[in-house]
Amino acid sequence: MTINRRWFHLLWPVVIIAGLLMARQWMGDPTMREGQRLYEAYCMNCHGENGEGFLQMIPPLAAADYLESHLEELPCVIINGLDGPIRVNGIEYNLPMAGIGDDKLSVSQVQSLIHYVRNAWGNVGKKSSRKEVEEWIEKCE
Amino acid sequence: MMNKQFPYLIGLFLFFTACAGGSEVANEEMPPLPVLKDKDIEVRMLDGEQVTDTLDQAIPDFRFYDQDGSIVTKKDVEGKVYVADFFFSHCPTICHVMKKQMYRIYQEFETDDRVVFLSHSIDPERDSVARLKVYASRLGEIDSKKWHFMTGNRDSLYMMPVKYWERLPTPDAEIPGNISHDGKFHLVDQQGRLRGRQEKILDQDGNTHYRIGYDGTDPKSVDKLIRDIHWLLDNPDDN
Repeated sequence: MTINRRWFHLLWPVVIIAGLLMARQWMGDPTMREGQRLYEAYCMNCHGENGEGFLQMIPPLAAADYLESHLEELPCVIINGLDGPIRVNGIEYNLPMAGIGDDKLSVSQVQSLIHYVRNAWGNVGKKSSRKEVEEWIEKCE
Repeated sequence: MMNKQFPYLIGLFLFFTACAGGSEVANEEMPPLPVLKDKDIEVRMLDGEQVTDTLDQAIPDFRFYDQDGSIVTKKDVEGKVYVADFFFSHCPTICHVMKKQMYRIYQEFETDDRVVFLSHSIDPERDSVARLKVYASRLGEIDSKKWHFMTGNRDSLYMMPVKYWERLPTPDAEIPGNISHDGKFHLVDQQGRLRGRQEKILDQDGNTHYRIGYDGTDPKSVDKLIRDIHWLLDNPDDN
C-alpha cells in the first residue's frame, strides 16, 4: 500500500506535463489551425492528406521547393489557380488547377493557408505578414 | 504475477479469434451484386402519337480511339469486367481526384487480365490522341491495353454517359473547366451488364439520399467498388 502511494506522488508531475502537452497540442497555433481547416476544405482532395501530391498529375506540397521559390505568387495560385507548366523539385507538372476564387477567402485566411502549407509535414517557412500577403494579392489582379 | 495475467491473456486471445472469425463470415455472406435493370424509357413519335418504349439497359456498341490511336470497341471488353468513367484532361477540379482513385483500382488489378478500364473524354475537340497519351503518361507506366483513355466523335461520346446512368455533361461557363459532369465510376460485368449497389448517403444537413453506383471522388465508395470487382471475378456466372 505504502509503495503504491509513493508511486502515485512520483506520477503527479508526469500527469501535469502530459496534460500541458495535450492542451498545447489541442489548442495549437491559431494560424496553423485555421490554415489546416482551409487546407482540408479546399486543397486536400487533390494534394493529399500529407501534401504528397499524385504522381505527375498533382504536384506535392510537402518538401516542395516551389513554395519558397514562388512565395509571392502563392496567393495568386490559391485564388486564381494555375494553367500551364510548372516545375516542382525538378519535375514538370502541366495540368490545370482551379483557384478558390477571390470572393471566398479573406486576406488573413490566405495568409493562414500559406502559413500552414509552408509549415506542415516537415516544411519550415517564416510567417509572412498580413501586409505582404495583401500586396501580393493586389499584384496578381 | 503470471497466474493473475493468464486469464486475461486467454480472454484477449478469444476476443481476437472471435473478431477474425466474424470478418470471415461477413466476407462469405457478401450479398449478390444487383444488375442495374431499370428500364430506359424512350419517348418517340409514331404516326403523330407519343409512344413510350421501355428498353433493357444495355451498353451500346461503341468505337473510340485510345491513347495509342488504337480503335477500341465493345468487342475489346467482351467477357471482361470493366470500370468506365468520364473526364477531360483540361478539367481543373474533380478529374485528377478521380484518376487518383481509378489508379488505385488499376493497381489492385494490374496483373489481372480479366479487368480493364475505359476513361471517356467528354472534351474530344481538345483531347486528341496525342494529348491523352501525354495525360496517361503522367500516371507512369500505364498498360494501354488495360486502361484506355478514349476520344473520338463527339456525338458518339456524349451518347455514352446516359447509358451508364450518368447525367449528361453540360457546358457551364460559371465553373472552372467549363464542363459540368458527375464524377461517377461505372462497373460492367462479364456479360456487359451494368452492376452496382444502392447506397444510403447522409448529407451534411442530415438528410438521407440513395446513390446507385460508385462515386469516383470518394475513397470509401471506391473501396466498395474494389470489393465488388473481386466479387464479380469470384462469381462470373452469377445473375
